[in-house]
Amino acid sequence: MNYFVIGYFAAGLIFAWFYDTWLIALGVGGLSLISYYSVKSALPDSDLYQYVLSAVYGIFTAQYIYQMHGLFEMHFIAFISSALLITYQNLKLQIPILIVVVVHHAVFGYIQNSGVNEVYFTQLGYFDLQTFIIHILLAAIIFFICGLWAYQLNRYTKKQHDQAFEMEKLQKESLLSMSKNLHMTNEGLNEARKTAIEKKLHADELEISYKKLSKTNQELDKFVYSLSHDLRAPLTSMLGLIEITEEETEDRLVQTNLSMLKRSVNKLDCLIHDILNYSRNSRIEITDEEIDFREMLNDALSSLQYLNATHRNVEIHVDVENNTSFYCDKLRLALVLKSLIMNAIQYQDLKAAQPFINIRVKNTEKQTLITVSDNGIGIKKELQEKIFEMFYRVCLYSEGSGLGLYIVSEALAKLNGRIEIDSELGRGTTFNIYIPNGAVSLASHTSKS
Amino acid sequence: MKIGFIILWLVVLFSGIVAFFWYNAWVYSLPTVVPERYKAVNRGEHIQTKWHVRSGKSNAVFLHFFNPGCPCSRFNITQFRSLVKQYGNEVDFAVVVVSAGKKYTIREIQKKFHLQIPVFFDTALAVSCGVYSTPQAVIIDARDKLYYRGNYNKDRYCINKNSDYARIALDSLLQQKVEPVFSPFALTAYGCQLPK
Repeated sequence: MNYFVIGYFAAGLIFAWFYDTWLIALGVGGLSLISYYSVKSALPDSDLYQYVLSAVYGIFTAQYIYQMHGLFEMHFIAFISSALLITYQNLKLQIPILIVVVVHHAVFGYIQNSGVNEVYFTQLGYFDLQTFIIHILLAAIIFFICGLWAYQLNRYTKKQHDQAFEMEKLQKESLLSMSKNLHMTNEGLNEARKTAIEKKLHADELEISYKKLSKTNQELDKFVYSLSHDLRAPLTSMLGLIEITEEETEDRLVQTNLSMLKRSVNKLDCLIHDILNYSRNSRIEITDEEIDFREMLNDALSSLQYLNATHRNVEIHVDVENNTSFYCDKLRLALVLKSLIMNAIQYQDLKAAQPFINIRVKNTEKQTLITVSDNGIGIKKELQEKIFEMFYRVCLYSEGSGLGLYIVSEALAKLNGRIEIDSELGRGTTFNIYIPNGAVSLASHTSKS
Repeated sequence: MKIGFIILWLVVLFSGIVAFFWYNAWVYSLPTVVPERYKAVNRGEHIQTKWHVRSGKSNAVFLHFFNPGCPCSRFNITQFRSLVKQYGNEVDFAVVVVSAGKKYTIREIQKKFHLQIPVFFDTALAVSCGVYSTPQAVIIDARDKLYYRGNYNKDRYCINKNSDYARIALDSLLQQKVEPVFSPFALTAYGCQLPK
């Protein structure tokens, strides 16, 4: 606003050029400037200088009109001044300028109309009361409108200020909330990070433990294999000696003792044999090769011939439906078949008139189904789940080591196969074995390569 | 106390402003100082016209004494122009420039009035017509006698018809009315002194 005041003074100097009104421009304009600045500097915290400015604007308007020899357009300066005062957003600031206008027109108009010759107030020859009222009314309306704008501006500014304050408050709250959330998130992240690190450590520990365990297992397997292998040799020698002694003695008591000794040795040999099988299953890598089931079954039956001979003879039927080539790990498959046939022979039903074992093999491109069924003693329903557990025996007088079916399930697990049992006490047992054809995985592996 | 002092201070300043206005108006209202060697030319006296201003068709000559440097002359231009427009066909109008310092051309003066009328720079005319201030109107009748020498208007803005002396004089001359009696406001010269 200070610039406008200076501008008003400068405008007075410019208007002085027209009719040599320098005295008015400097005198009136100068005193107006002094009025404004002196009050503003004396009471900077008060808004009195604004009221003075309003009156000063009125005086400047009169000055310009005077300087421009009554140029009517100079009246617009009053309206410009009124509009400028809006910036202070104070309705009451329109009052001083209105007073200046009213008093000026009223006093001088009255004097001129009274016939005082020395007063030259207006160019209008008809500045009577009616003209005065219209003149002032119009000016007052404009001042009022400007005042109204100032009032509204002030109102909206306050409203905006309040809103801005409220917004700032909300923003602060929001920021605080965000900060808290962030803090919580950070805590959560830290927790998650901590958990992840713990998991990683745990995983590392597990891996180390697994490696250690694997190493221990391998060592244990080697130990078991070596031990089993080494134990079998003396056992075989013992069996040989027992058989020689049996033939040479006729003493019934000695023969009975030798028979018991022989049974124990066989049992021990059977146990060592099972342990060896278990060890092989764990230790040896899987190697898929084409399986000739007939040959494999013949070999198995041949190896079990001695066992079949010591028991009541069991009729074994083999039916191989070999439509396609089947690939599998030969060692483990032979182990499975041999264990199942051996079990069928050992647990035959003595009451049965014609004990039998039916072995049926059906190959497809995807898998093979081997069914081993017998009319043996059968297994109770409630015990069927336990027969695949380690060292579980169905009955106390069982000849087996309790490892046979456990090794079967372990070997099938290695071959990605499964076994199902259908058994009824006193009627016999049927094992269904499903093994995927290794040719499929082999073909898949080859195509990938 | 401080407020009281400030209000008093403002009253003083406001009084100063009023004083400036009043002084300025007062100065304008003062009659022009009569020069020491002024020789009055009375109404009806013969005016020796040495110039060819008459067109031959008119009965009167209207001389407008004009000083471009005089504010009163400047805001009187409109008034003079309106007279020319109204009586231009009946009266021979001319502008007599009385200026010191800056030299003006006829074209420049005509441009100021927006009128194509004769312009003279002969300061002796002022003496022969008894003019010692600007703006002044001089009306010379058909017999080269001074009919009117005086102010245009009592009113500074020249809009008061009752004191529109130059117009009243012209009307009276052209319509051959009874010669009006002018007040001292008409005949006492107001305005700027003639440059020496």
